Amino acid sequence: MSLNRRRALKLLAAVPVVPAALRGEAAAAQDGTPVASPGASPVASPGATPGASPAASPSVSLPPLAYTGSLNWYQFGYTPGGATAASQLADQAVAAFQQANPGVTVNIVGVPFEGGQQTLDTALAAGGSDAPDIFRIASDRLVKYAAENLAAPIDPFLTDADRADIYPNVLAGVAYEGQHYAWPLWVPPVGVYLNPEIFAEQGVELPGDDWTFDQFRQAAQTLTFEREDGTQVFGFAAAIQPDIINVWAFLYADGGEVLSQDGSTYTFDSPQAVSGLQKLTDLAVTDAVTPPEFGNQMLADVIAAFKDQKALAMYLGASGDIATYVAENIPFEVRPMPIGAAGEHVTVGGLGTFAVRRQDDQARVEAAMRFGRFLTSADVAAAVPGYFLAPPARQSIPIDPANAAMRKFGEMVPFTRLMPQTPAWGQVSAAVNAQIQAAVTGAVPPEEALSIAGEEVTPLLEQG
Amino acid sequence: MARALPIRSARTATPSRRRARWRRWLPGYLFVLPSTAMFAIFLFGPVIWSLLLAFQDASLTQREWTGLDNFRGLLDDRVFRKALRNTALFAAVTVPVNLLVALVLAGLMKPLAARWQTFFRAAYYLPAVTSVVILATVWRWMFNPRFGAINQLLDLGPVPWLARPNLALWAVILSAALTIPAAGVVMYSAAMGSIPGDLYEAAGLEGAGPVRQWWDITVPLLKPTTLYLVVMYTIWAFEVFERVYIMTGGGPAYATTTIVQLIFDTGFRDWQYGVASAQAVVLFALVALAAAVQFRWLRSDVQY
Repeated sequence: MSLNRRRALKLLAAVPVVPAALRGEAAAAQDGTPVASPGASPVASPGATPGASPAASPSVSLPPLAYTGSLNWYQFGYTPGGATAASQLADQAVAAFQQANPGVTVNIVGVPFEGGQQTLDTALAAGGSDAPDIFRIASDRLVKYAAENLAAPIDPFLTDADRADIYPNVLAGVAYEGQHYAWPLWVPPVGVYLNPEIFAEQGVELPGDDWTFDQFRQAAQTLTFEREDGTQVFGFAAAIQPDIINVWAFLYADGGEVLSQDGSTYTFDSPQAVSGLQKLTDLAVTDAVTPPEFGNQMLADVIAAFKDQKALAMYLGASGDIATYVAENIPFEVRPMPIGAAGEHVTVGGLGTFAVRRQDDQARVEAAMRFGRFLTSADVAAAVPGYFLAPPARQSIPIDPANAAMRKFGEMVPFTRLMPQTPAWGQVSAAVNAQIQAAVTGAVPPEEALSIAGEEVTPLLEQG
Repeated sequence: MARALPIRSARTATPSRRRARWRRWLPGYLFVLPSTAMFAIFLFGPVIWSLLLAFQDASLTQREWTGLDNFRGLLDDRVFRKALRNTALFAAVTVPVNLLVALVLAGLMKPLAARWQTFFRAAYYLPAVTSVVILATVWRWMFNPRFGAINQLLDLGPVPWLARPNLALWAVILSAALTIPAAGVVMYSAAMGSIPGDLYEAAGLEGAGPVRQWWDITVPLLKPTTLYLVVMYTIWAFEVFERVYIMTGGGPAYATTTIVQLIFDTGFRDWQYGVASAQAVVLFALVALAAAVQFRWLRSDVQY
């Protein structure tokens, strides 16, 4: 095979017409969410522009490290010499850490988003002095590293202040079999991007944060129209791909859960989940407020319809898109997911984390843990302005008040449902999304689709 | 009367002959050593290793011998069966279409002047030097239901070719079938050029028209080339990945998932290297079987 998935995306990104969005899609896998990982964005989000100073930091006074020597930090998208804004931020973070810990030198090893995951996995499996001591990983892949004894539990290094500071749902998102396996960095929840100009064009008032699904549906219907120049505008769209969970927010909004809390049982065949999928299907099949290609629409195409063609009123996305829209002066608004049958705000999201490699040298592990904690804490926010490019995982780190969209995403963090930890997550996600595709294209009724997905998922969970 | 050589002298002669032979062959062995070593280390070794992995429960760090379990699992794997069907259908349609298109185009080029043949060969070869990723991206745009060229040309309205499970694979197949098979055109063209002209002259004198000459002379004499192209196109078709990945991502609902994509996902997304290797072994067996049938069907001793 001459072309792997990452390489395909890299080559695609070289095509001028599909630029940033696909690079974002490649990055998205890092946080388990489909939309651009903010950490991968070459443009710092305004949500983290200089001036965002941390509030009450739960900084604790830690004893000097026993370890002296080097640490290897494998970082996606890093290029030496500060070639990108994200690389500059990484360099600054390292400088601040080394200043606070004079005996430790951090080597940043840049791995590309395209194919970099295999590089990281190989380096971890190979071990040795060049192996990663600390690495970025999305929480939905984390459990595989924990199950293979490649990631070390952070619990011995997790202070009470850390536990109180990290959002409880976020901390739970890195837990596996009673232990926590990574330092949570940030949470890009899924929200609704709105084009205010299309709302104004149709005389539809922008919704409030507490809008319901019925209001959303009515807006989508009104915002689906043909302009005088023949341009067809659609009320709603979202990407549905094997590793993209954005539309699951509809199923969760009605009370659905993909798996039981312990990750052992498939539960997306519940009446609540079926109800959510029925609503999503109705938008496409009954209301026809989605583009005809909905169901297998690529994320890049969704963003292009919103940003370039101005032919999409609303779509589901995470905070990573903000930077692009601000940079290109694209008008947009962000709202939480409409409230569904569950009667409360619910959304889904990814979680970017730093994991530490399990190894025999405990002093080195401790140093890597110290670095991981620093990279996710208010300390790094204070030392490196603009470091956090998505809503932070800690409550003590504020978001720039001037960035309303990022603040909106930040407000979603407490009710963001992170995906359950199971080593088979990749297969679970692919199986469920395949059947959601079948349902929204009208090929299979929602109830049957989620039942078929269950038939595929259940054996995977039983295998452990 | 012949006299047998003394045993001693035969014994003493053999080592010297061996040394002479060794001196004669050594440079040759040294010349092929680097490529043989590279082949063994980077191709043959991994293939053997992959074969062994197919009988193990292998993840990133752990391995356990499980015999035929991975192959038994594939029998029950609905997605694998779907991927097999998709790949087989893709190959079954694209291979003959590509061969036919190549044969016809090469036949049409044959009567042209040499410079025009060169021009068309170069023109037809362009797709071969263009990345499949680029081609697939263009095809994805062409199949876009709202502004794609296909719907505009056919005036069918917004048909979502790539978003409907019953259409998506056929759209991908169509994109492959409509991409000019550059290698086939060039090889057929070269092969046609080497067919002696007196065969056609003789056939003409006997009253055979151009179609009869093409069917009774050109096509049979191209069998060695056809065999090569059939085998190669079958291998390429069974290995299809980039085109599908770019155009549909394997969806919707596994409608376009192919074996190689499944191998990639199983290995690098799921870390199930044993299962991925078993899938690869099945793919290898299918391709080998297809090649064997094709050799048996198309083999010939054509000489001219």
